[in-house]
Amino acid sequence: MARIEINNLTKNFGDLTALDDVTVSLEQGQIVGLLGPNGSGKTTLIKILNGLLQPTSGSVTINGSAPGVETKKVVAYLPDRNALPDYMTASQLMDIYEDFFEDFDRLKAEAMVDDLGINRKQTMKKMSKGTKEKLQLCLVMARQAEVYLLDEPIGGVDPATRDYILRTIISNYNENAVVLISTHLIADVESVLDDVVFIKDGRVVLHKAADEIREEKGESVDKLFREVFKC
Amino acid sequence: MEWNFKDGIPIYTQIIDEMTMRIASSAYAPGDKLPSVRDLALDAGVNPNTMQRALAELERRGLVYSERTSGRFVTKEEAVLKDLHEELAKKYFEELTEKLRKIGMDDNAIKASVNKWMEDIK
Amino acid sequence: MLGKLLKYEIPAMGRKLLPLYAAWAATALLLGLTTQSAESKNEFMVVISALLYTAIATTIFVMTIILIVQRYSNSLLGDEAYFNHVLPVSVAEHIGNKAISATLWIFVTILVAIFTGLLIGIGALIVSGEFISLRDLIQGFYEIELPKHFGLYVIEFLLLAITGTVKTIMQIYAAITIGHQVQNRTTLASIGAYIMIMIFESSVGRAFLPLFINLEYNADGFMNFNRVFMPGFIMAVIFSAIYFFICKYLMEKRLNLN
Repeated sequence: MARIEINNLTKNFGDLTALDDVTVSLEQGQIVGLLGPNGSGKTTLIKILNGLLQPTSGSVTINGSAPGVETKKVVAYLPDRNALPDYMTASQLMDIYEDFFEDFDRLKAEAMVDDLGINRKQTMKKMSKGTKEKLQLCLVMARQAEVYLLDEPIGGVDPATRDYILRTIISNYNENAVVLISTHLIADVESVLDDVVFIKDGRVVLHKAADEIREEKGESVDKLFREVFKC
Repeated sequence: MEWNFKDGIPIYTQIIDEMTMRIASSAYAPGDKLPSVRDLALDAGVNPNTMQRALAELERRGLVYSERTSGRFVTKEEAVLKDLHEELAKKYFEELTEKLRKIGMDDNAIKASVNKWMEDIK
Repeated sequence: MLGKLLKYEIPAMGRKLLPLYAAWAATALLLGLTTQSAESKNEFMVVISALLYTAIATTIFVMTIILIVQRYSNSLLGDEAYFNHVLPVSVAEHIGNKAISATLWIFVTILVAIFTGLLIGIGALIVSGEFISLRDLIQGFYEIELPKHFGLYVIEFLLLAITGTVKTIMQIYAAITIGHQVQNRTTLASIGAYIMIMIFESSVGRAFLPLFINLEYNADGFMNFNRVFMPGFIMAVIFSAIYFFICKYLMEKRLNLN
């Protein structure tokens, strides 16, 4: 069974349909790009996989179970906003992660925090927006999770950090895990991806291997994206 | 060594070309141990699965071989390396002659200018 | 996991309350000192310190309520929920954690209130120079004659206080969780839900109260007290459970973070 199964998933917010009959399955050992413009349903999908939103109809499973305590043990989630208590320091946040997640690698987190020049003793409140994002990313990527759900991991950071993040994703790769990266900055991530999922107005319009796209269409994923989502 | 990927060509193919070039130019000398898939992937900034697939193809072509526990090595078989050099040389000559014909040079003119060029750069 | 949650939740509330307690204690002492010396000297100081004392008491009271609301709504339904609901912890543990911590801090606040009362007395004593020795004080306590069943009264009273507090907290939580189901007017919906809960509770209470009134009247007065205690206690437990399950159900099955 695939690590992540999404079956006929629909999510409505009042009259608005955020996801429309989405069916996707993601195998382990893959780095997958969830690509679509703002408002296409990327975040909604990731939130449902985390149990933060409930499906209107259809289902999602991770390792065969609906989102719940069991799936949360193996899912590492980078949200699209700062969700960490802002009065805490980087060190204290690492304590929390260590307490709650068995797969959290403290030494790895500390090394990443130091690499990115984050002051361990500083509270979140005093950090810049970019630093907060980096710290959240360190905490998430320092887990040896089975599923990584990264919502816009490279959205608000400088190019050097962007490279660091992508390198972290590559070096963190393991064949048991699936990494789902949602972004609209395709050029930056495309060399890292196995598969790409294009999502448009809540529908999956394409699910293919990135190299297959380059081979068949003779163009980059980024270029194809621009064509598919032309305004 | 820099990795530069072009748009619109499978990354997998581009890795094969680059690695072939490195082996032909002895950047990775015969018998050298190659870096791990992960390190190569990191260095190139590509997906480890893609790197793995490219290396498997190089192995199929006989340019590298793997030893179960110790990793991948560049082939020591001179025949294979000789073939590789011939193949690359052929490819470059093809490109060159094609371009020169395009600008109107006939085969004699091409031969003459190749000879002259070789003298010039001595 | 509940223990681990409490490990972070209790300090999170304490962080805001402890400095206020310290300020409160300081003003209590100041009030004691000034009261005693006021007759001869400065009435103005008494007024000022009494005002300070009351102001801080009010702040603590308001702050406690705000904290109860905020720690619940921010952590479990606001931005921090994106972190908390991703922890491998059950919803029941999350709600339990918030309720236990809130109850604990309410009781700490009550203890601190009593302590500040003592401090006023101590302050006054310091100024008057009349020190009662500790031994006399303990002696005094021994000489007080306790009424019959005093221990039971205390236990029942404490049980009632705790369950009543938990129920009040759960009421607030249920109202917030219900209100959160309404997408755009969350605050208004929460207030509406709270009013509905109050109406529901008083009508249920009125319906069941007669069941307890018929308890046997007892000569030593203890059963008399039970006529007040039992319905209060049972109702508090039942209502707490109802509100708990409302929160749990909505958070497990209907959670939609925006």
